[in-house]
Amino acid sequence: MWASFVAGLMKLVRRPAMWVLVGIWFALAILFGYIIPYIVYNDPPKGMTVTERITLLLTMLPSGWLGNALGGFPLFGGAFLVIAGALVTGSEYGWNTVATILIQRPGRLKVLAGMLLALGVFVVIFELAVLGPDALASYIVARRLDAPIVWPSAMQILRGLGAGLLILAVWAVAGAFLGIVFQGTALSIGLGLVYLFVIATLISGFSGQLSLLKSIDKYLPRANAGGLAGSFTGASGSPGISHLVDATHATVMLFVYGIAFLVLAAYIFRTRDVE
Amino acid sequence: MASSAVIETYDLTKRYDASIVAVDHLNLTVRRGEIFGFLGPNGAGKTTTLRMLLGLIRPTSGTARVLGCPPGAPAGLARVGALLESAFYPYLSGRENLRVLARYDGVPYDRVEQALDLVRMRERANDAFKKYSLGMKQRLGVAAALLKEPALLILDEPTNGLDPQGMAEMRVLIRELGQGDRTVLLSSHLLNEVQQICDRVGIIQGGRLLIEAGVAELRGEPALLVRAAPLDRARQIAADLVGLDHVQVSDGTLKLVTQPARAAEINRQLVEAGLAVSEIRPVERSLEEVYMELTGHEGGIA
Repeated sequence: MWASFVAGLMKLVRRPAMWVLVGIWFALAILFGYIIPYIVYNDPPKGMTVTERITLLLTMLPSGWLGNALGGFPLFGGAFLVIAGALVTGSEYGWNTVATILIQRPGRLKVLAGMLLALGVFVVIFELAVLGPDALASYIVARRLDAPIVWPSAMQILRGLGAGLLILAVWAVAGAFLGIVFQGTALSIGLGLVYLFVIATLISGFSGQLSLLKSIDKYLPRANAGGLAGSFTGASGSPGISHLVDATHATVMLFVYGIAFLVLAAYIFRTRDVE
Repeated sequence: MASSAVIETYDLTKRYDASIVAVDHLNLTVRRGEIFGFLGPNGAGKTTTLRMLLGLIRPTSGTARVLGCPPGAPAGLARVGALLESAFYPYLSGRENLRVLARYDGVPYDRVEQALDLVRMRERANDAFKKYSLGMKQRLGVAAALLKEPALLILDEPTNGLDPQGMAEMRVLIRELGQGDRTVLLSSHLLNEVQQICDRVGIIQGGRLLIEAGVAELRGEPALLVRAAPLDRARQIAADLVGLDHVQVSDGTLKLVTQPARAAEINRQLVEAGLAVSEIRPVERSLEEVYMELTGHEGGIA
């Protein structure tokens, strides 16, 4: 298992596409989480109320750091991690390296476990690539504006780290699962993004008018990811944030989805012929 | 499983649906220490068979044992090196690709350098795999197959993409690798290559094994073709020299089943008897001729 993990990590660490994803994810988080709000705060558009301006400021300060960072996880983080997950497994089929590694010593499940554990390392990197720089940015903003520097409590930070990891991990495993099912990257990434940006948005949009859709939405992954992140962002939130379910419900559902994706991915990977 | 058998299949069958049978009740034995050629036309079922032996494809029915293990079992794979189609990570260098595989196999990086030396890839080992020529990719595939110092090597078209010099080098390499106890299962479309390298061959067509035999056995006994006049007198003299049972007459020529080294002696006897000898040459069936006879196949094979 350890050997497969190290081999899987060697492949990912040297893969430029993974770092490009991390870099873009980091840049977007800083740009839309701090740089643009800071510009807007300093030069407010006509019609912006004082309350709106204060709310904007609060999201940029250390006290709002967790909510600001996690607000991007359910939708944008989801997109990046679906892509990363699909790249990890789907590329093995695209390059046909799946046959090359399956004829080495470890069994199929160990090979897959190694790939997914290496992906897990990148889930942590993705999380830290946003939470770390966001914390620094919030500190800089507070210092520049002479605002109070009040960080969330240690318990809140731990909860936030855990919630962030869970959300990103579920999307990563979903991407990996799709990569295995469709034996490639293009369709798996495409369908993953279609779910995130189209299907889930439509269901969420119509759920206010149709109670059945609302009931279904409560059990879908994006609404639950949004619900968990929403427990840190307060009433307002980024796209993808939802208040349809509470944090406990969301946590349970995300675990269920994560485990289900893992089990199905392992079953297919273990039993399907490699032509 | 016989003690000398490294690979044994029993009625191994792969059926994709009711009408497509890729491998049909294949019974094959590859013995320890031999270089075994696996031949057949395109779509005959060779690659499907190799993939079943490596555990990549599950048989519909039948069984196989590879080094005493079920196909794909880690204990068996630990002693099998295989080259299927030289699929590697394009963004990694040749050396990095081998190191990734070495990690999977639990072999030290020293072995990577040895394998690179064996296939003469050291100089280009740090180049990205995507920059390699087809021949270099193929050589890297062979290096990957050698990482584990395997007891069994399975090579699917190892000379694909190699230039004539590369093919000759690969032939030498395979011969060297097949020395001692190591077994090589070689699938190749180059019959001349197989004839030169292999001890035994199996010929498959339509998923069925047509024959499994030694190369020498398939090519039959060596013979001499003699054209001399008058034919009856020549036949009489030849019969005295090699025995009546070893003389055949066909299309105005004699075929003498004997060692080609006796050509000079036979020629001298015929000439001394006053016969006009216009032709005398060794006759050997090539593996290609045997293959064509068995398969009735005139196109290329793979």
